[in-house]
Amino acid sequence: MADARTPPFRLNLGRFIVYAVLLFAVCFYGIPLLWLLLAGTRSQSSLFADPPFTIGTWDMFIATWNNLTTYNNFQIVSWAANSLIYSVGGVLLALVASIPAGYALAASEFPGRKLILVVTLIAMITPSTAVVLPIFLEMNLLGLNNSYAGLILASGFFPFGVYLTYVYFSTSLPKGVMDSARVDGANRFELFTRIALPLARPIVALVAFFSFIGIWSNYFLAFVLLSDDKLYNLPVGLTVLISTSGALSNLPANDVPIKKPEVILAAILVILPVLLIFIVAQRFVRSGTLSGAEKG
Amino acid sequence: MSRGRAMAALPPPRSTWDAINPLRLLGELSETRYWMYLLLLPSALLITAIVLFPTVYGFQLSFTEMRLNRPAGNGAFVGLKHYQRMLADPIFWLSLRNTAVWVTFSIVIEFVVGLVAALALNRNLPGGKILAVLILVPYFLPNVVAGNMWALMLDSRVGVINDILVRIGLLHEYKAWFADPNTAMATAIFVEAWHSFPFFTLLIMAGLKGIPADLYKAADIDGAGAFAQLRLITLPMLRTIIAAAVILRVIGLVNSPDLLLILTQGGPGRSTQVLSLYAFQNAYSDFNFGYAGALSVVMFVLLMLFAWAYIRLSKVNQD
Repeated sequence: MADARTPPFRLNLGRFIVYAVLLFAVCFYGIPLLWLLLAGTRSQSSLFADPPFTIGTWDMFIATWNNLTTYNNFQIVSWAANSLIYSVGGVLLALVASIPAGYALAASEFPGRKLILVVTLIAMITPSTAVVLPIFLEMNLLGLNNSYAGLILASGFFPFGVYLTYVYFSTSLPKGVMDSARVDGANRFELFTRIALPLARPIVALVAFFSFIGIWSNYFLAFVLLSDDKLYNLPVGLTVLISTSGALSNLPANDVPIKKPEVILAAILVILPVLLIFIVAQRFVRSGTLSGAEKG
Repeated sequence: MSRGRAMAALPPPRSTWDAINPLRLLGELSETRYWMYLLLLPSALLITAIVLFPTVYGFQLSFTEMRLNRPAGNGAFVGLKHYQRMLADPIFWLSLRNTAVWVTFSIVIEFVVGLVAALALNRNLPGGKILAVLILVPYFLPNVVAGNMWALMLDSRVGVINDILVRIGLLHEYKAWFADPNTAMATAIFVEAWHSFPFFTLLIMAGLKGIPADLYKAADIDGAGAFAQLRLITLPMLRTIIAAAVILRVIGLVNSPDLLLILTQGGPGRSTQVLSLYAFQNAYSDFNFGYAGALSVVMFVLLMLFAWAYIRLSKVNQD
């Protein structure tokens, strides 16, 4: 967004300080990430002996990759599949709950509307970790502990999505078009599906983005609700790999093929989808969050 | 498709399909006064199952005996027993103090760094866009990855941080940062601040976009310097957004033990034991859900008091 009013670039002390600050911030983040990415290509002994920012070899990377994927009968592959199931299920649930609710709150006045808005706001600031112990017992009662359904249910709740949709529809619903459709005999269900939903594409994407990232990264809830290692998601699986391999503790040498490079590669696997989605969506997400935040 | 075309060609008969056609039913339902509540139903069901019920259940738990490893006597009402035990529990008080340290220092660092980064990014400099992306990306790193990555980098044998610090002469030998009670908390706060300051950057950047440029022009004419403008225009205008960001972060920090669970598990000793971790350990190591419930209730009440007081204070300042 090259602003026409922006004066031509010149370097002064203020600018220099600003760049210094930003450069520092980027190093602050970039160096650890760079190290992590490079470490995935190196051997265990190289991690100990060579300087920190050495690049490993392609063969090493392939060997590490094979060790990781074949370990325990392709366990990491099934964890990745689980993560995908939880994320897709949770995102769908979040959308089914948020979009109609946000629309209802924005489109009309009805008894109890204020109360629901307040409850939504309170729920927004109550992260699910606060109620994780009772949720665990509740899922126990329902027999949903250790099941796909249980974790999807617990993680699919996304009050922020209701709020975002509400803010979006409050400003973007074309009242005139809706009124004339009404005159033409459309019922209110058709107003929702034919006018509001097509308009809602950006907000659907935004809600899906935020809930996907939240659920894909979810560690604590999954850790609490799942005890069967076949059902683990990637973040929980990663911590299991780390503790069984002793990659971070001083366990005596063992013959588990999972060493530091394998663990690092697994960590990269966890962040890769998030990173890719973020990079693809960042412009859009930034402008979306901005418009939401400004009105809020 | 073919059915749709057939139906369009024939005059619509009042068939069995028509009677159970969900689209027609929804259409009719949407003309009743229940329509709005139907739209809210999925969300209401979820909110009940995932927030309201667990919250109420949690309160109830805190007044009952609930030990999963000792089923006899489970569910019995024990009044304030858990709360009385808490008052006399030195680990509770220690955890409370640690929570205060953990939250206060993390928030202050995240806010200051987040504000500085947002102000810098807001200058619309060449290359600013790409820097903004680079700064925001890591916020989306999962806690597990951020935590384990730093655990590896701070490792006492292969840690890259130790290597750098020794090379530039700040350290004489590799240090096990999380094994020393004197550095464990500070190091954990560093990792937390590293991970979450972009949250402040993101929200403050949004807020900065909403401040009218005229205010700064007028201040320029009045001869106000950059620092005076920050103090008299930027910060007051950002008050609402800063208040919201602080409340959200404080709640997140108090409630989620993820990062500490990964980095230290409360150790060494109890030097990084915080309330959320203590509640979690009571439930999952000692299977004492009643006491864990009481701890959660105390956290919940403290947070609500904090949010209320904080909102009050930031409103008072406004007048």
